[in-house]
Amino acid sequence: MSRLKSIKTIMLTFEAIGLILLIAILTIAVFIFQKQLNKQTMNQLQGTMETVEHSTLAYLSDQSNKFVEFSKEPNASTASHYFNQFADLYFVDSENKISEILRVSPSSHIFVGYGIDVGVLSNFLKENTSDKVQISPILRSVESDSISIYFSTMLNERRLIARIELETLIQYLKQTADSFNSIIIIASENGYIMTSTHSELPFKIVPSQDAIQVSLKEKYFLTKYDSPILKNTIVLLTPLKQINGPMDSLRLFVPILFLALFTSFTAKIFVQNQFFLKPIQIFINKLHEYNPNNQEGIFEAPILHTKEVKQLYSTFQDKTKEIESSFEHLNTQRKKAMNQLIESEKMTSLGGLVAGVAHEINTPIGVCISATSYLKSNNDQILKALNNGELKKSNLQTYLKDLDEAITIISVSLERSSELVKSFKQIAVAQSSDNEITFDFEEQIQIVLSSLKHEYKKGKHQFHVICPVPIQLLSHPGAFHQIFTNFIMNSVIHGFKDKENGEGWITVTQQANTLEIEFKDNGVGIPLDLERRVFDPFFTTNRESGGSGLGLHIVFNIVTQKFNGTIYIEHKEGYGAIFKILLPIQSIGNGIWSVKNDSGDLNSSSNFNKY
Amino acid sequence: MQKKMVLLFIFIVSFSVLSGCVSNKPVKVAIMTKLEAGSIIGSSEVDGVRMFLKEKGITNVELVPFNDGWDPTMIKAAYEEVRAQGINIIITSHTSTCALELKKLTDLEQDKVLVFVTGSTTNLLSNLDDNNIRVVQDVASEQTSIAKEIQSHNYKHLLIVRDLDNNKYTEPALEFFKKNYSGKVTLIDISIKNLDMSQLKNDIKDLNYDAVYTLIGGNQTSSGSIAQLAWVINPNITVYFTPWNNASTVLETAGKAIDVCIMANHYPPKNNQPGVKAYFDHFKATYNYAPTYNSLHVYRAMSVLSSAINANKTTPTQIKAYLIKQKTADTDFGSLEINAFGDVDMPLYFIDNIKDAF
Repeated sequence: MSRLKSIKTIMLTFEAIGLILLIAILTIAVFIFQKQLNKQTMNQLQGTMETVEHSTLAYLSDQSNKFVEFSKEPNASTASHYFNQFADLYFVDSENKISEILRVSPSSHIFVGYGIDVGVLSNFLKENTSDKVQISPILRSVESDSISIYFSTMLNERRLIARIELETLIQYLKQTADSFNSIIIIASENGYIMTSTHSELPFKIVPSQDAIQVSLKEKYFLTKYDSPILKNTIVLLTPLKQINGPMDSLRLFVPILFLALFTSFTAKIFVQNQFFLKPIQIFINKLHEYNPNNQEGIFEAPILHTKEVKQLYSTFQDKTKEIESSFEHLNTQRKKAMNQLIESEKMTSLGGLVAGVAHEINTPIGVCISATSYLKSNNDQILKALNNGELKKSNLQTYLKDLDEAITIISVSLERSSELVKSFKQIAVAQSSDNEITFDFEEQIQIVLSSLKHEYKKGKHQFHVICPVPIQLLSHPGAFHQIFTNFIMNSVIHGFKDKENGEGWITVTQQANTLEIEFKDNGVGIPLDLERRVFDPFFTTNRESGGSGLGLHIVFNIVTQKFNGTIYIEHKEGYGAIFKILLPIQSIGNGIWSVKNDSGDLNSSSNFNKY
Repeated sequence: MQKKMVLLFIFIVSFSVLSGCVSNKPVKVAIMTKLEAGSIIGSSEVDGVRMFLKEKGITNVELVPFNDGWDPTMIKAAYEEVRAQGINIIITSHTSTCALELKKLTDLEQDKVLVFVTGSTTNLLSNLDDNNIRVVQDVASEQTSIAKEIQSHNYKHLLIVRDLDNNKYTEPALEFFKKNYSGKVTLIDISIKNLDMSQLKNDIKDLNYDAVYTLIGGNQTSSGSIAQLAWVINPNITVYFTPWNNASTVLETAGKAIDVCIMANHYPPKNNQPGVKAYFDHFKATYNYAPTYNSLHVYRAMSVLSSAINANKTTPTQIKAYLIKQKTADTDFGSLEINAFGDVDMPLYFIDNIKDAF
């Protein structure tokens, strides 16, 4: 059988699974969206840095054009027109020695004859011998100890060189940076900052990692681009709020959505609980408390907010009333039937008693009839003899002797009949009226034995009464008659079945305030598996022979209900059925004991489930 | 009772973990130097320390670079930035002028800050019970050595070109030099920042010098330009550099004149000292450029500092006391003898093959 599951658990589980699935889907969607956004952002930033590169190139290209322009007429006079663009303008000879200086900045420590033999500039000059304008990478000029870019072109076997300081480039880059609302840094490959569009930076040396967050007065997102053209690293610091704008909105939206989902989940659970589960639970709890005997009325559930739950309660109430009414009707019917059965049992018992008594009386009366018939016959003979004058003394003596015997027989028989009638009367009256009277207990047992003699003498059975001390009881003798009648008849019918010379013992003792009655026989006894059922109503193993199965049930009820006593079965070696009855008694003076009794109905349905 | 025992156990464990965390926090060390774009001056020092920490597997020290531009006017801002980050151990490589500016600030916080001086020789920092540990000899010792070296060559006429921009170094330097040099000297004072080469050329072209001493500190690349100018005018000369022109950039600015240049140096040529050679080789392999000799001072200072930190000395007072007590600090470039004032004395070397020195 599969385990039952609670609706609450099922609902919670499904709701939770639903919520988790929704959250998972949302998370995945946000993750994918974020990834896409990041990719887009990175592409954008890459584009920005390439724009910076191109802007720089454009600037340099512009400078280059000016350089070309100057190179058409390279002299000190025209050089002065380019003082904003070029810090140094000079010629170097084939040995890379400065042969003529057209313009020199105050920070530049060059002179005519200065040899550019070693270093980055030297390498640049050696690698670029074309007459086209060549542009060097951004580097630190050793002669001026400043960040510079060199332009070079061949002019009539001499090389014209121009140096621009990065300050002019920075101004240009600043415009670019402002348009992107970012900070642009040009750094060497090791991260040392060549120049930047912002004087304050969050680091002295550019971190080696790419795509990280750095903090200045606000948070920035750092991206790097190794420019193959500039031969330097372009570093872009973009304000994080610019990048995270859409993500920030999403980040704001997502928690709100999660909150909404969670609130919805909680609200659903709450509503389900309040309008469905709780009323059901209250209904169940009230059912536990329900007592059909409580006539205060069917309970009202405190929460009936919904139509369906209210319907459930109303239907239950109506059905309960119907069931109660049927139950009452059935109960009444049952009580009636029970009473009838018991009455019938009584009648049967009485009938049995009457039959028994009738049978018993029949014998002595039969004897009387026989005796009187014999006497009549003898009388007729004597009269005849007397009338014929043939009467002899011996005949008269014989007649008188026979008469004496007959009178004795008739007398005994009539006395026996009178005893029988007396016993019958006592039992019948006791059973029918059942008033509380004072009686000798042993005497009553004997009366019962006497009334049932015809039943047990057939099998040559005997019953003995052992009552060491006379006991005077104030109680209902009829009830005791029923008890002993049932015990004795059970012994005869069941205990001594197919057996002769059975014996039974009825022992009565008084122990303080308890009257102890023991009935035992040496019959077959009660099987162990039937022991707990023998006191059940209608239980019998003699149904085929017309047994009602009420005998011991009546005994049980009399002992437990009427007399507030106990009855139980014992087992002893050598005996069959042994019934032990313990009745509470109290002395009422003059040697009389009263048996506590209950005035309740012996046939009450509340007794059904006892034992 | 059981509940109390559990709470006590949790408390003890948490405390131990926290203590562990606290004690395991690395010691932050500031390096104040010139972090100019593209310059190997400051980058050599920073990269040198990084290399040291990585080589030695040191995780209990965190290096934090600060830019002071080797400019006295930038010292205050840089120092405040250092202190704002709660750092109380500083390694400097700046000039004497900057060092004295810094001293004004650190003197206000005597025992709370410790400075390792690697680039300043001013005698105004000598023999003081202050919060400085200097890993190079002072100007008196330095100039005495240089003077004696130049004197030994018996030059007829020595031209001294002195940079007054770094007067805190060059003024006492000349004083001590003169005390130990008795030959003919012509002194020309210049300002590197405002150097007019053509004017200088005019000033020296008629001087009949056979030796030039560029009394310039701060790794000014112009030293090489001046050397080249002097050589172009008069090829038969010898040019001397102070130990503070020890960057490879001098090779560029000196041009062919480098062949007549001699560099005073705190270390022997790298090929003569395995430790120095190893340092240069490893540095070039790691960072793709030749470092300055200045960076060795910084590397050495870090080595000395690290020995104190490894001995569980983490406060300025503890470190200073430890080093002074130890007296000798072993480094990869030889041992340092630190006196009671936190000063050292060491020999000076003269490198004539400067091309091979880097």
